[in-house]
Amino acid sequence: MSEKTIHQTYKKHMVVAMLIYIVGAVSVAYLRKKTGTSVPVLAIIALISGAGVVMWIWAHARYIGGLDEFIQKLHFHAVLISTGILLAITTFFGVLEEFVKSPDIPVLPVMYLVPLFCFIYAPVLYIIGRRNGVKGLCL
Amino acid sequence: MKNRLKVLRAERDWSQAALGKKLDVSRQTINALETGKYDPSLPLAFKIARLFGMQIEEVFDDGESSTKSLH
Repeated sequence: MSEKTIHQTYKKHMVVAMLIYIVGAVSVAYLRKKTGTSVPVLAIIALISGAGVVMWIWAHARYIGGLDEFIQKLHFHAVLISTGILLAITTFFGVLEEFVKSPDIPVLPVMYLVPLFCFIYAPVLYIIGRRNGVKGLCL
Repeated sequence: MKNRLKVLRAERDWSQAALGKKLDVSRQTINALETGKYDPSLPLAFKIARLFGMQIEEVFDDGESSTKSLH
């Protein structure tokens, strides 16, 4: 499979995965506000969003696996650094939330960890690509 | 690790893209190999050596003396 085909396949899977993620999240938010849906039902619907994330990770792993070894290395490097940054951010907020418990301290909603990871991953991948002479590396 | 990839490629008048196609890797990978930013995996190193009809040691130099034996 050519790199272009791999990229196109990944984009299709990613769009579907993100739609599942959004539909799950929006459905829970809507049903919670507009109807008297019970919490267990909302929890089951929330699993749809989780399934979207699993699908995205699967698609991304499949995409990276199809790339040549050097580009793969750059992606792995970016994933590692992005995960590290995300863990540092969550630890910072987690420590404050757990031990300070003050209304002045903003709470980091767990739901936004996936978009936050993407916002970290994209520039990290771009920078790593540029440093290694590869332009246009993207999610 | 140093390598003679750029010289070998130039001798055959191949572009980075053409060499990448022969090796089934991207042009960026060839560039990274030539500039020493990336050391290839063993399968890719074998593939490169085979393409140029050489031994791996003739293409890649890890800085160790070739006469030094492993004990």
